[in-house]
Amino acid sequence: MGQAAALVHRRVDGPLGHRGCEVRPTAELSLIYRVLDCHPDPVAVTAAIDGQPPRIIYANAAFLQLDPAGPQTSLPTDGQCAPPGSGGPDPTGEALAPVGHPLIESLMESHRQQGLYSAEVACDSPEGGRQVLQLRSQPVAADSQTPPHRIAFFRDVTTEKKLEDALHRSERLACIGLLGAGIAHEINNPAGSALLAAETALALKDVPDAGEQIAACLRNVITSMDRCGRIVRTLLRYSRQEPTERQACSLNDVVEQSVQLARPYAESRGVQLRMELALDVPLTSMNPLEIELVLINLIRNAVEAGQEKPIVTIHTATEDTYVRAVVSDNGCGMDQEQLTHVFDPLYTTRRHVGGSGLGMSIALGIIQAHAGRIEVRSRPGAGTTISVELPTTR
Amino acid sequence: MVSATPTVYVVDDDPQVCESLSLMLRSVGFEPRVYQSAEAFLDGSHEAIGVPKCMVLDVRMPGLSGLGLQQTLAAQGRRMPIIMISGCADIPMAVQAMSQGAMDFLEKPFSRRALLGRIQEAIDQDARDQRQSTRRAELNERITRLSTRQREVLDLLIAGKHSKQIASELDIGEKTVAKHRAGVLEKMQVDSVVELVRLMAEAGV
Repeated sequence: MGQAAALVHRRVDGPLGHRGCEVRPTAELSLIYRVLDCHPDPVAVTAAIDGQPPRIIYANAAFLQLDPAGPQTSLPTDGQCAPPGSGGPDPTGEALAPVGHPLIESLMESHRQQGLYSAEVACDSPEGGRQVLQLRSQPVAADSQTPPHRIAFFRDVTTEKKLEDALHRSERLACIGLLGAGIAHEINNPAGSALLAAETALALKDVPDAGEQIAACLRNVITSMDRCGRIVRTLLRYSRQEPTERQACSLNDVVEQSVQLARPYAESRGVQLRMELALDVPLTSMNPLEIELVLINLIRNAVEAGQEKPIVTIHTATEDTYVRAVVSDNGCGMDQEQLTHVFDPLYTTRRHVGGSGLGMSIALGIIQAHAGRIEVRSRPGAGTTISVELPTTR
Repeated sequence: MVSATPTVYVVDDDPQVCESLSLMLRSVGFEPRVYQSAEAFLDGSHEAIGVPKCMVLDVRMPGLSGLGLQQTLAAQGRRMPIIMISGCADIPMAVQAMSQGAMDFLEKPFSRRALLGRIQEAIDQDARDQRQSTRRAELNERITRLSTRQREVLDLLIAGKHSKQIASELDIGEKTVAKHRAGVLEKMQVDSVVELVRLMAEAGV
């Protein structure tokens, strides 16, 4: 990102401004900045002046602690600008910010947005290890004299994220518990098949002219064991401990994985699962395990929706700026009251059969964190359709 | 008549399971007929007549389940020994299968020996059933050739009545009873009342 190079870290306690525009902060402004310096969370003010790339024109002490500029351009933390030529940042705004630091990138991104912008940024913590910061950036109302500014507040949400990850993991494990019986069935089929085929091959070993039959048996063993391996890998991937990060994934792949996990459960309840995948689904930045959790929860709800000839359909689609997965059932549907509460944590109509009431609220949280949308359409007796949309642009 | 190659119907939605079952059955000289759904079996089966047969049936399948197929076959009066197989048997399911007349219930994965043992039992059972039903059909056919009076005498003979009792119940002479009795034994192709009773009991008539 070339523009990031133009970002400049400056304190306004000294001369404020940019090329050719020296501004001395008023006493009130200095006071406001000093107040912000006392704020425990990182705060930065950015401005894109005269169509120039955006720069940081103020950063409080907590922001500087994060050291996003790295050691080479370390910023003064004593409230003073370093003198020109001292090796510190150039007070005229020419010093280069390190390219690609996630904090800087998130500030750059905020300038491409209108109005409120929020994002989660993962970066190295000054204490070592990784931390997750939540950025909330908003425009500062401009007047005729000042160029458009944005103020960015960062909040350390590392602990919250860890708790959230733990919650998601336990929800995933709960899903595995639920889907487990079906998945055991899935393994028993190829395991049983391999066992029979191997025993048959052994029994044929002394039979003349049985070579072709023995080969067929062995091919069956190989195919079956390969299937066992795939099922186990799916389970392990789904239940593993470490939180995963976002990556470029195809929504189709994630839908397929989810359906693979949920199909045995659906079939054990006599529900037909249909999957219709769009061609050419673009890669989308997402946390695949989390999206899988969302889809499995939606499929599970659909499967449990109770109907005469139950059919649950999952299809994907691509639009201009987003990809979409839609889970629909022909079940009992929801009335207005249920629809109002559908995302409320702990709201469930299936407590008697082990519903926790967490699935949909977790799904909403995950989709919102992906800057996506989740939409529920339902009428009593007319089934439920839930669509999940994830933005494809960054 | 029942000495032809025994036929084993395999109904399981899992293609690999179908294949390995089919390989195993062929290796021991059975004739496998494989269907990947209950519906496919109902649509496509032209039951082997006069051949001992049985069915290896998966409980859980999309569409009509194994238990459903078992009920359908019973309702259609199609009888054959059924060995249920399942990858995740639960007790209620096994109980239902057995109470619907399944011969056995095996959990996957099962060994070749266990399954072959059950299949052999099932084939023997079916051969017996077929012999019995053939005999029953024959006896029933012979019974239809009896006159009304002979039919009455037959019923009383089987009930263990002596000629004198039969004569008084039917209000006819003892000589007439003896004549009818001889006619019954002849048409039923037996030499004695004892043999007649044994045949009828064996055929479950």
